[in-house]
Amino acid sequence: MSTHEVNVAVNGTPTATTVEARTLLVQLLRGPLGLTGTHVGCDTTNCGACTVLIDGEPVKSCTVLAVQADGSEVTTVEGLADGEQLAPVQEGFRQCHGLQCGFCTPGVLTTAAALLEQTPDPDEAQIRDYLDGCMCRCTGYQMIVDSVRWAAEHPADEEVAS
Amino acid sequence: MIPTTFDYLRATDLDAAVEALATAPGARALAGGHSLLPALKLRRESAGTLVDLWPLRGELAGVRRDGDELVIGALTRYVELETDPLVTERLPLLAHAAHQVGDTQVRRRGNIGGSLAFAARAGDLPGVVLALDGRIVVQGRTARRELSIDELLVGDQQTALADDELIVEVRFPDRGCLGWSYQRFTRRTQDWPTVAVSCVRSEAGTCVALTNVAARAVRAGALEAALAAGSSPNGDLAALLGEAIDPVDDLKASADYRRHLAAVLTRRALVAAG
Repeated sequence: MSTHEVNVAVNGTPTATTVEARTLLVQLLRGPLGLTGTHVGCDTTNCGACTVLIDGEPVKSCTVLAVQADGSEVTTVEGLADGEQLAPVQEGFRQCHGLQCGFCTPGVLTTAAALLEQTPDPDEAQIRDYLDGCMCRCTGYQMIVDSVRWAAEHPADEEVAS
Repeated sequence: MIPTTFDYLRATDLDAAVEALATAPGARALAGGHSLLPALKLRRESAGTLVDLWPLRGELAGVRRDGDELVIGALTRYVELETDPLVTERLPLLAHAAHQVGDTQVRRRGNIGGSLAFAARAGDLPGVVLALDGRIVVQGRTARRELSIDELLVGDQQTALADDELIVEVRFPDRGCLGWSYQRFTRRTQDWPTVAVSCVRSEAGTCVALTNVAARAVRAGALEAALAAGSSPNGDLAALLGEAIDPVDDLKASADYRRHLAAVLTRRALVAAG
């Protein structure tokens, strides 16, 4: 079993960690890096609760080795907000009750953030299609769609009344 | 988590990758990892060394025209197949099928070379490439060779690739597509197809391939011959397909149901492809 030093910029901060070859990216994030926002829901590449952005693209971090991410930029749910200012998609989930238990939510938020970066004004069909790798057992998905639509209608340069 | 242990090395270029596959103990190629890593978690696969091919995307990803062929690099991801203008215009069956695989996240790691090399019996792309008469360019330690997709596919997760060989690119004849259809039956979101049918019509005739009705994807030879002879095979579909397919009972469906699906989906595909 080889070990490797993995250099990953996580939410803009450089990190360097020694890991085994078999360590998954989600294990690196949740363990040594202490970022427990990313969740392990299934470990079978289905549920999407582990989704993070690798170089801006949504990827299931339970199906990537930490060593594969060496040299990449990773964004987790902890990296969406700007200090105390929630990202539009996070505010949308607050406004439209896009979560209940919250277990799937980090994966949905990161994936939806990537969608809005690519398609700033997605319709419902586009939202549902893009989020097809995120499973939610609580909401029945409609409130997630509403939350993403809210974010599309209230992009970051607007002031939000709390 | 992955309960099995292994070494990891990152390939710097194609020659280094092939050399590593030939010489590193228990070497396995790691591309998108979305077939191999789940299998390692379940102990369905083992590896002594994973050789990471991702740095090779510079040379092995992308779509280009080469004369009357369309050439797709092995590390071209599903998300790229969905949107590349050459694929959407000239190989629309492939662009459409690529979007049906997995989900948004999976399509950003999974790639055509990995799909063909893993050759899962229910995988979408082998049947699609079979319908499109793709040719596979393979690099080994001592030689580069080319084989048809039919020669590549041997059985369920079995290919004609030697241990030191990597798929480099897939070459498609540009026949000009007059009509196409991809019929994919699933019970749930994200499922592998219970059965799928790929159909493409060009000046050269109609090609029909079926997925998950045998140990590997198959062409419906008898049906194609009937179509080429000008007959309208709707009444005889099950009989015409019967020679090509040999489905199994599994948790998803019985062999009988797969036979039924094969005929229904083939009929729909032929109608949709015109």
